[in-house]
Amino acid sequence: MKRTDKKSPFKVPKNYFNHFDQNLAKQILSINPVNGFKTPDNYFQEIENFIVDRVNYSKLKKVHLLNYIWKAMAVACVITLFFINEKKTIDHNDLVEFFIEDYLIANTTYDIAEHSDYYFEMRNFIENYESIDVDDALEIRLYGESPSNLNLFDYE
Amino acid sequence: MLSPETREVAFKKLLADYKERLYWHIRKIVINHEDANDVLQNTFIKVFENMSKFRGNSNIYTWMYRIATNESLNLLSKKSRKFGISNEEWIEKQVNELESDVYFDGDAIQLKLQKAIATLPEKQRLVFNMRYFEEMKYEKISEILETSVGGLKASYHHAVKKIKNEINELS
Repeated sequence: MKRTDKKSPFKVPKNYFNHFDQNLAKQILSINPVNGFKTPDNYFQEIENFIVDRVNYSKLKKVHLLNYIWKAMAVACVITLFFINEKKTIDHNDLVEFFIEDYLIANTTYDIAEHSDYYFEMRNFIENYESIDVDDALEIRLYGESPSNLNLFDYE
Repeated sequence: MLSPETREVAFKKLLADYKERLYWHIRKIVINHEDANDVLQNTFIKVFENMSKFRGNSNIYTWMYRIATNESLNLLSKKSRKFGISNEEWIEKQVNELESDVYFDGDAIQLKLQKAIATLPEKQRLVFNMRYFEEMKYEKISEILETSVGGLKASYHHAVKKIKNEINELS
């Protein structure tokens, strides 16, 4: 049997199928898609200005709040850093002072003259012992134990 | 990133161009003018706040419609939760109040149509409104609702069938 050409000779208007279901729905419902809803008079003019005002307000409010938060955080950071540095400086100074004082008490002038060769070693020593807590150092002192007693100075 | 001035100019343009379209889209979801007004404002505020995050993956119009749809559905959920009823019951209540609404002047047939639409499940209602009243293409609706075109066609088909039956029952 001769094969028939399946191509249909029929045509439809342009975009017919795109709007078919819509047109069908309108026919079925026999209603024009006007919905009966209304707005107050001049609503769309007024709402535009109202939204612009609201947005500007919320933008300002947000910027103010963010600025405030950032400023507060910056101040808090500066204060914290100041106290940390201050404490560190005090601790370090106290420690150095303590070691020098202890060194002077524990040694006679002759000893010191003799030890002068060790000056740089001593300086290194102090730097190495920066990690000693001031409270611990003071406790050692209260118990009458100097770093030299504890043989921390091993130059003898 | 947009400069504050560019952002403001762009926002005003979007507001001028889309306020009415978005309002009607929202209004058909929430029914009542006051609620539509609240949702429209929230939608534009969200648009403004998120403008710098918009990457252009979708059309700005689609993106704004998505925000408006989500905001409308959120409002429905809030209202219905407040009254301890479902979203559908809340919509039905709103539609029943349309007769006395000063911002509704539809005739008896339009009122009947709104009552029939109110009986649809949420998704079908959205699809029906967007397709029938707003005459949106399925591809656009699919982008806004993030659903397949096939699914939308099926939803619309079911919606039309149900509305037809509902109108016959109401007559």
